[in-house]
Amino acid sequence: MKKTWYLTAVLFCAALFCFGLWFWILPDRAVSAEENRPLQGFPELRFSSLLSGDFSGELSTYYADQFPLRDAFVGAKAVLELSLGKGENNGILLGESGQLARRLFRLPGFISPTDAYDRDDLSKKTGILKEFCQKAELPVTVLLPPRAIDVASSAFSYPDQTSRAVISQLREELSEVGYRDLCEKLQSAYESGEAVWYKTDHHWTSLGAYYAYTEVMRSFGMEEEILPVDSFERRVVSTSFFGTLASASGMKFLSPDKVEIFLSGREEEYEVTADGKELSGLYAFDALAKKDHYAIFLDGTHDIVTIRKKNGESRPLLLVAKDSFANSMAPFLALHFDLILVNLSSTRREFTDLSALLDEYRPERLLLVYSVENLLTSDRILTLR
Amino acid sequence: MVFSSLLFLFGFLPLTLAAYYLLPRRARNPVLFFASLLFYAYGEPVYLFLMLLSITTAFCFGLRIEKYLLVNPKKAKRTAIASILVTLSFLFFFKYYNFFAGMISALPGITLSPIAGLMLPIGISFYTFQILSYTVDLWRGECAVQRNYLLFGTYVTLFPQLIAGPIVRYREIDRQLTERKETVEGFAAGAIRFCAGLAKKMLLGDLLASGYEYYQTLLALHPTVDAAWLAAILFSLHLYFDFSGYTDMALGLGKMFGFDFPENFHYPYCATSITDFWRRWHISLSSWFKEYVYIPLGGNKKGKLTTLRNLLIVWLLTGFWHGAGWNFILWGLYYGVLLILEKLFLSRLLEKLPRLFRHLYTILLTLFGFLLFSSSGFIEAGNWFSALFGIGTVGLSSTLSSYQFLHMLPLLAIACLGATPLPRRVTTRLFAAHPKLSFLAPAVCLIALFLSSAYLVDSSYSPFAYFNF
Repeated sequence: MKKTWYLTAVLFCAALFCFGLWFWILPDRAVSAEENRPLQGFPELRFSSLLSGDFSGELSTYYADQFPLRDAFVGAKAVLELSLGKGENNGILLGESGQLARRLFRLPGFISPTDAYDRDDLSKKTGILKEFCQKAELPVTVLLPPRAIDVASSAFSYPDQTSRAVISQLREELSEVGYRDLCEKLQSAYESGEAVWYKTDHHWTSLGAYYAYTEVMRSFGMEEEILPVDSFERRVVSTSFFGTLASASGMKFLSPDKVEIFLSGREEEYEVTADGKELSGLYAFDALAKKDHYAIFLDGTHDIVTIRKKNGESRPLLLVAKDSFANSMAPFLALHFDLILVNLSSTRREFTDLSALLDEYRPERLLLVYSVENLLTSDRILTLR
Repeated sequence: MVFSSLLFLFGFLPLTLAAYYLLPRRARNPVLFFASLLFYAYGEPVYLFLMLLSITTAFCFGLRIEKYLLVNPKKAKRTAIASILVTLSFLFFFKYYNFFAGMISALPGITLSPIAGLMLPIGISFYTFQILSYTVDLWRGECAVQRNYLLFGTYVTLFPQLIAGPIVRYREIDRQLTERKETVEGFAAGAIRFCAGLAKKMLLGDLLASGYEYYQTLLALHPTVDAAWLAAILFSLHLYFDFSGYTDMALGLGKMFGFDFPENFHYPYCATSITDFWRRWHISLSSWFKEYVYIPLGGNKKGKLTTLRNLLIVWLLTGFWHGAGWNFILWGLYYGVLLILEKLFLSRLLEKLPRLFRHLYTILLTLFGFLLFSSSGFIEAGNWFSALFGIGTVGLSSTLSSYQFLHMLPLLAIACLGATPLPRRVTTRLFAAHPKLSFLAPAVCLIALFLSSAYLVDSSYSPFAYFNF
């Protein structure tokens, strides 16, 4: 017994001291690629920050951010959560064949994440959308990309109560104003084994985006011009993509996604500018060297992107007010239109003033691509004019 | 600072232990005092001075009380009362001023503007009660005066129990301040207790809390009867594991430094009556109120009516001690009334009923109590309470709430078992029957430490939402 006491005391102290020491010896990391955020460095010691308590707050963050074996600890926590039978970690469900989907969302006005949704809040937002569409003096198509949990529901033992309620509410409240329901089509494609959604990311794949494109063309009455899926050369550009859901899940044992692009052979004909600077084209291949491979489409996040023909040929202008889901649709739409894509989630607020943008660019059509997730979790759409 | 933080576990604690055991013996109390001040100042740099002021006044008053005690008892009493009032005034001002200001302003003709930014100093309710126990016991002649400021300061600020108890009375610990003996056995037992407490808080308490928060949100968006019950059950379990886990850590830390603090919890959810519950929940608080309010008021020695009055006063104060809000006052009175009923006739009635029924009775009533305790307002508590019985709900259950329930079942089962003496009984018997297995204790202890650390590290893990653009 005596031995056990000694052993306990020694091991306990050793654990505290070793990790304490290791922490201080370990060089600080500046950023976490997995989290896509800067990590806290050793806080600056000032009298005012000491007194206000800011210093101690930052020191705590510093400890957590720079702790040895951080990734291993995060992974261990995920494994423990799963082994408790929760089937998820950090609100991300783990489904069949490694499919991930976010279950818990943070709704505006609620502190803790939830998988229920606020019917009235959604109604308010669809009301704004509807009013905008009815006022607009040009044809508008509203495309609301569903969430991974809506499309890949067959991969989970999770009830689709919220999915069905949200989708049917959207259909009900927006049917008069050019709303196109995508969910059913993507769902059945997913169920029949087509890779329309990434397993580790919340976006659709290029195939999913292709389906969205056909839906948009149909809503434009341009069914005949849709290019068949086999007219594209499908090229795999990455087999090592771990998307946002993988990051958020903290799970370290997942297999990566592959990223495919659909080439039409006309890629060289476009002139693409983003926020005033010219891009090399529709695809930013250098994104593949970084964490977020989805950023290969239109170089990731930009406020405003224009796509025109290099030879000056002028085609009908389509304004796309969008979030990131439209980025992988752009290569398809560019086959038929000159495009201006504005980021509705931009930190620059003027992009929700669509009336002003319409006056400025005078497009022939307007396409709204705004994901159901953003619609539910952000109040941005309330500022739409 | 809190125990359940990486900074404490892998920075503050090892450094304090090293300083404590490596420096000469006479430096031990100064090390503890200094470390405790640092511990407190880390979260509350400004309020450190308030705490020191409170300690200093009580210390000085104490010297005077002792001076008059034998020669002029009346003056001693006056000094003691002055000391108590000064000590209480700090608590009153920082904890209750805004509450009363709001209440008085509601009266016509008077406005007492609340002070914006008046924050509750951490642990003030705990250390104030510790200081009061010294002043009262000194005046009653039940303990000797402390002439050493450092020792008195160490008693009040001792970081293991500074911010969440247990409330240690001065006379329980005055000899330990100078005569305690640190042993390897004590240290190891302390380490095991600490790790157990850490795991209780991090692996059960916090997970139960997130389950509770889930159901709270669900209640707001899609209220069902089962969600209301589960929210109440999860909250009760969360509070127990959080608070008793924190107490375990405090007791464990105390042992590492050679102290023996009084126990604070004794399987409260196994109680068979409300009276029994309060002998098992936050024991140091109820015994403080018994010792310093109930008995001085006459206890149960002055007839039935006085006893009932005393009970109501004590429980009004107990409720109010938990927070400056009507819900806490009502929560206290709720228990006051229940205890009175039990004293009058309910206890005798209960004793005739089967044990299972008595358990259910106690659990249900504490569950209802916690609705008041955890709600921010009466309307919220009222809605929650009615939802338990299907009023204002959209159904008995929903697919969402039953999905969540099923996936929390293992955690809930572990928590329910963990709230009974069973795990301890089994391990004690196992180790007694197979002494060789005792080597498992340090292993389990380390696993608990690492798993808890994993949750602590993970709590800062927040993938930035670049995707929402």
